[in-house]
Amino acid sequence: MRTRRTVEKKAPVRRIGGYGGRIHFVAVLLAFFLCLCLGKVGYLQLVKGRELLEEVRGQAMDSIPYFAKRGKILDREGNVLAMTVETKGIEVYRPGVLHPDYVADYVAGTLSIPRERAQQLINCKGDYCYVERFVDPKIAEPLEAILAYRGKDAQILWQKEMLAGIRVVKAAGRLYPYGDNAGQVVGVARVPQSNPGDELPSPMKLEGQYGLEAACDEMLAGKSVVQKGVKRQRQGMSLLPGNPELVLEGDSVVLTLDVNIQAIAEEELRRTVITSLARRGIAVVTEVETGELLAVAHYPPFNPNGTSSYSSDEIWKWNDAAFIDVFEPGSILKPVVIASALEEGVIGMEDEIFCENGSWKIEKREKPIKDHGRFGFLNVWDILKFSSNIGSGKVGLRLGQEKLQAYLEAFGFGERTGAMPAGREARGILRRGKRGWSDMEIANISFGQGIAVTAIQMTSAIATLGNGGRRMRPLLVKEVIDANGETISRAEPEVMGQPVSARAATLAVDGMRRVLEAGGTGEAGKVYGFDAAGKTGTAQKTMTVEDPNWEPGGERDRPRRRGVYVDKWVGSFVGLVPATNPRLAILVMVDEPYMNDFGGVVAAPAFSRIASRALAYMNVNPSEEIRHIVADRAAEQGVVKEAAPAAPAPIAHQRNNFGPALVPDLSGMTVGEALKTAVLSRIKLRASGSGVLIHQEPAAATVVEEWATVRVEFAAAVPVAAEEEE
Amino acid sequence: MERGVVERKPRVEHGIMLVALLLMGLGLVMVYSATVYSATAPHMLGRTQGNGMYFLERQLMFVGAGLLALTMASFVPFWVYRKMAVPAIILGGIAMTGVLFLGKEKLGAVRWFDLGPISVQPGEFVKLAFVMWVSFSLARKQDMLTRFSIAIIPHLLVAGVFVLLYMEQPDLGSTIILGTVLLFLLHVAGTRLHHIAMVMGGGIAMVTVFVLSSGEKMRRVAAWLNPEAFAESDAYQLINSKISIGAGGLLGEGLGSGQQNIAGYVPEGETDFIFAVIGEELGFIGTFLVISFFGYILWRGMSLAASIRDQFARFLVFGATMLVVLQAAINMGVTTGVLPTKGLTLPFVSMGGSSMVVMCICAGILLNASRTFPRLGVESANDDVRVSASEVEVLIKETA
Repeated sequence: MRTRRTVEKKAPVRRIGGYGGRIHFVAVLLAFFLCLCLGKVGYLQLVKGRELLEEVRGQAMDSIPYFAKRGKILDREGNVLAMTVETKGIEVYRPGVLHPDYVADYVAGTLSIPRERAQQLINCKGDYCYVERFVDPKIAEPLEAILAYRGKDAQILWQKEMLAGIRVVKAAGRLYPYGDNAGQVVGVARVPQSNPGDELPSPMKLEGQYGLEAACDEMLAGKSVVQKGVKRQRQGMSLLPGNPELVLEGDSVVLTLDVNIQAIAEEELRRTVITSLARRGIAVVTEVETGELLAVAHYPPFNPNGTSSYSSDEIWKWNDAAFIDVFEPGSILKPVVIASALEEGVIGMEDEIFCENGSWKIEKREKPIKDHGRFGFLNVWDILKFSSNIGSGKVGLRLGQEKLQAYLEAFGFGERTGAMPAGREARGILRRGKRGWSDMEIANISFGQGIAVTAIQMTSAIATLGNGGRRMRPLLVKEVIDANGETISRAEPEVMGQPVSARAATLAVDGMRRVLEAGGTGEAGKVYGFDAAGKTGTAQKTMTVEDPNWEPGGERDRPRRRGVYVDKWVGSFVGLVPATNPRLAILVMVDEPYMNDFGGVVAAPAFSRIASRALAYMNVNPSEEIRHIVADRAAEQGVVKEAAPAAPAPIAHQRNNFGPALVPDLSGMTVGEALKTAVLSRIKLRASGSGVLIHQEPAAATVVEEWATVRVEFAAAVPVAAEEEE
Repeated sequence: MERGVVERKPRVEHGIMLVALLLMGLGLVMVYSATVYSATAPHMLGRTQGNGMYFLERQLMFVGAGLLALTMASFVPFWVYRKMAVPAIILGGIAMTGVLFLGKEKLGAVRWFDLGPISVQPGEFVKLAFVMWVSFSLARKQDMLTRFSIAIIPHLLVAGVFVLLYMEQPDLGSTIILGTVLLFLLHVAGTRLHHIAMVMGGGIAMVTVFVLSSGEKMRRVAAWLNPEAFAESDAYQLINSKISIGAGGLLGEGLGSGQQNIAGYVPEGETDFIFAVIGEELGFIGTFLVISFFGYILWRGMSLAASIRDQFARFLVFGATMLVVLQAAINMGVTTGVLPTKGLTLPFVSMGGSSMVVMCICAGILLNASRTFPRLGVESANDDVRVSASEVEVLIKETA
């Protein structure tokens, strides 16, 4: 009954189901809470949405810079000196590593390195550690396959899990197909080394560090692209759609160098540096008319493919020393001084200059200037021929300081030649003291001491003499082309000035021609088959660093300081070939030869060989008189009246030997062909008969001494069919 | 005019089924979206064998099991639940004890029986069994609910046993669900308010003591109150989950495009924090819909409970609704930072077999009850059956 009363007291609807109100209370409570959640969600998404999205972007967005494929470096014939290939590298993404010990074991085993080293490699400071940049495909490919495995093989999956964190990444590799051919000039581009703890550079970014790679870095590197993606917690980054494709390629650089002439120059330089036990050598071959550098050779060689095999005290071998190292030229500067003096008229061809019998004291306190012989009166040409320091010094004094300096500057000394882009060149030292040069200094500079030049400057100055006094800008980069081969810029031969007239230049070259005559200092520089002009140089070196061998109380009473002349020499030779209308100017510099200091001994023979081989390669016919000699000799034998025009020689004949000559296979050649080939192969022919060559002795591929005589027999060509009938 | 009360024919709540199915479908999509990237990550390979669809396939299996459970639960005769109440709770107690010794450990908790390819979490089933038993017990003691010793103490004792078992695992989330549902059931059954207040006070005191005694729980609370200070440790999940939800904005970043999700910043994105993935990828539209769906279940479940005369059925319906909605509310509250972090899944959506089956049974119970029992309601002009208020009262008494 009590219940019934209750029912009557309260509204029936509220009593439905008994305690329905309490259900509703709970329902409302929960509904309120759901609304609270909704409100919070709405606040987060609608009010703070943008702000939080920014936060996500900051937290999760990542970007990877992608680098354009670095352009090629080509020689003038289009041979590829440097190119970029995509290689595989191994990287460890540290947060993704699940089994550090296994990973370390794997890395150590795969790369054959000690385990401690592997441990070190995978425990770099950042998230990503590069373990190895260039991995053998034999290693990279199976590893990639395991890491990308999606099948069900339990063992592979186990391996995949154990190797978690290791990743195979794309890396850019710079390949130098010609190896050490022009290695220093081409230089090195590589992924920059980084200090431990620094953020690692991208393995795709190559940075030009030496030589042209550094000088043309901007053009070669091209544009880089930034790709955006989402940083993932355990797996690095995944790219978002809509990123630019990595298709860009940097521009390519075409050089004026010719790999074949470069090879010739390097081979001959190497021979001469090795046989003279020198420290190093430089050889430069330039085309006189255009200023184009055809070869810039250095020894010891540097192979940019194997930079890691050089120790830190061998880094100097990497330098393109012809551009960035300066040396005191010594006597090879004399032709420039003589030409200047002739131009200025301070000396005439008929003038005789007293050479003080070999020892000349300009100032009382100074040491006397000495010649290597006791010369009396010498005319201009003889000063060059016998390389008289005293004579040259007196000529310089006649010019006077200002004129001498002006002429030297006009020849390009003391300034960058502009051959190497981006000014990566040395200026050389052409001192301009406040008080000017003393007479002693003027005399010194006149025979090439007290002035420092680069090999390129020196070659250019000599080429200027050969070019009728017109100075061409030395060119190394001929052309810049884009990825499609379209020319972007082309370097045309550029006249930089005319320091001396054609007459003065020609007279100086005539003087240089006498250097190669019998009795001249450069006799060994005679070029077989060509008339050449040249100048020897033997420059004394100064200490470049404090003498490391000095001990207190030792043999010498004080340490030798920088700038003090020591008993170290640079033997050098510059030359023009042919002497009339020269095609090539060639410089050979042998640094610190041990066997013999004289440029005429150590450098001249290299000049001779480089010149003859390079000219043959360039299809330059031997000078008239030489051809006549050959023809006359042939005529003596009653064989050939006149040599037929020579066919272009296959390059293979020039590349195959070092030291002694190799007898080529001459069979079937005409007389002209045979003669040409013989010159290229550095052998002499003694011929009989006419027509095509039917017999030679010694046989092909026999090793003989240089310029040894090979007997050859020619006979009228017989048609093959006729032979068969017999 | 005094309106009469009518008893109407049973009306099946198709809406609840629809909403449950929609949520399960959404769950499938979101589980895939949340795991497609991480499934092939090296640290997951042991489980997924490199199969990117691994989690989706498992969830499909769970959904299948859930649908089976839902169908069975909605078609068994309703008396089965009454009969099962006592055996279920005993079985639950045994299972909960057993899991402490035989269970497998995962993430520092022992909650699962390992049955080869699947693992069963008895704690999830115990929630339902407990609701069934409490409903059964309350319905039986309808006349004596004003007495503390009868209405409160037995249920508290049983609840205490299960709370202890839960804490051994440990599983704070389930403990809180269990306690809250009990509290509300007692309240709804008509026990005295000051008794409820005492139980609530005791419960809050116990939770406080527990939280204070556990460094980890303290940190979680502190992290909840001041997330920025714990950004790298305890609030990491919370902050990233809030960032993810917020980043979704109105329309979301699109399925499979959530950057936080792809990047793996949403922790447990396929289970406890799936709501954050929904928020990021589907935006406010998605979160609003999900909350609305649970709101709908709440509305329909509570209406159903309020309109059933059968006391056991209405308590069970109420309890089942509570299990679903309370768990959803707590989950979403945690994800959005309204509540401190605790591990609870989002019903029907989150990945997980046991939870899925239990939630489906809950939905099945609602459907079953709506199909079985006549509804009481305020009369209207269209009603054909009329009963007076007094008759209703008698009917209520009789069913009790």
